[in-house]
Amino acid sequence: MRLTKDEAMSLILRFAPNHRISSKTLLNKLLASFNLHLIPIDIEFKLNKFGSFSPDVDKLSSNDYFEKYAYEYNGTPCIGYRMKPPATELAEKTIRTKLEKILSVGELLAFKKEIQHLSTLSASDISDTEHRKLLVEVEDRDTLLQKVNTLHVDFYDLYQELDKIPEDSIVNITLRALIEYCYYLTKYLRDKRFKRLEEAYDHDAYMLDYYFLHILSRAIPMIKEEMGKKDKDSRVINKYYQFIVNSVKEYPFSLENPDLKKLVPA
Amino acid sequence: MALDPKNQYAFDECSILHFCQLRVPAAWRAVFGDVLQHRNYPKLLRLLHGLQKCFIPPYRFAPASNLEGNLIRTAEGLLEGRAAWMPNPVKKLILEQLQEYLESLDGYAAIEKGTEFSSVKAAFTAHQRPLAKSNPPKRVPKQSEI
Repeated sequence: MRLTKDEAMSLILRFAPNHRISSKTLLNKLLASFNLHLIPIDIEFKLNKFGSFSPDVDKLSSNDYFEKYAYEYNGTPCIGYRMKPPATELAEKTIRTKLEKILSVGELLAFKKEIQHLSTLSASDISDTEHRKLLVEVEDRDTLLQKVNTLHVDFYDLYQELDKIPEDSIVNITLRALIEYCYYLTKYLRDKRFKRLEEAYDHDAYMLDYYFLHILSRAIPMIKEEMGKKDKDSRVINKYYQFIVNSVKEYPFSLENPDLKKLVPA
Repeated sequence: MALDPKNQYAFDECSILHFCQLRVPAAWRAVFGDVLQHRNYPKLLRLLHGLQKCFIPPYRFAPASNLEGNLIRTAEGLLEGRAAWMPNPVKKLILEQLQEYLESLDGYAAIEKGTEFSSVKAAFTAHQRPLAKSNPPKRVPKQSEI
């Protein structure tokens, strides 16, 4: 399950005040915020000095669901995005058929409020908060490396306990799959992605490296809690599984990479 | 196999799941090839095509019993323990595809499971036949021959 570009755009414009977004940079930030809510979208983000950035957003052109419009701000020509009527229906359908499968009513409301709130901020304000949260700044490198190592050790411990989860239900199999996948993913992040961090800002980094680190650290307490429960919460487990496995497109650690096994030798 | 339009041809969930041809993610294609299918897939497909050709609707039992167990058993049967590396994610992917396949199915008429069996009993009673020993009787070997 992954949201298409049109579905993501329809949701943002449906939730935004006046159903408009004033700039491409702000739109980039709003689309990137889906990742922190564990909503996989069909857009890959790179890291640049202004935070997460996607070349895909440049390519968005007016269609049935939204249109670009030109306006002037302090004498400077700007481009904004505004909703077209069919986007309302697409947004409702996306909520019903996709979001409600992974988000609870409370989580959906929190996501809607955050989009509304972020729409009123400047892109640089959003970027600062995002960078602090994801540890992308050069001065946070020590904390970042410590986090990578700790996460891998935590997932190694969980992986050793995999046999305690019986394979007798789909929710148990999903939990086992999540732990096993995360164990190899943290190994890959530690040994390949973050092994030699340059002193300078990494302009070619995949934002998913940072999103994954952030999400994986949130997954640990959830997994520990669910492992101890008889009636497991399949929605929560599935939400983490879907994001971690299905949000990748061009990212190397992907089930669609024929050489995946070579990335993380045993 | 001759198909008779007067008959009903019903499939249990496991057989229906064996109609499904699964896409293998690139990471496991070296082990499984591009697609994964049950060994009876070609035969079942021929049967389904035969039914379609004779305008005989296929039936399925509703509601399905132990659907989750059947899904897991089918997934395990398809994998046959061949996924030595990351076996849990591949099993999860197979299960997802099987679930999607079941949800997307149409064209099957449902046979409702009921508790009323009188018509079945009547059919057996109407066609009751005495059991007869085979003629000539089987030769029982002597003790000395054993």
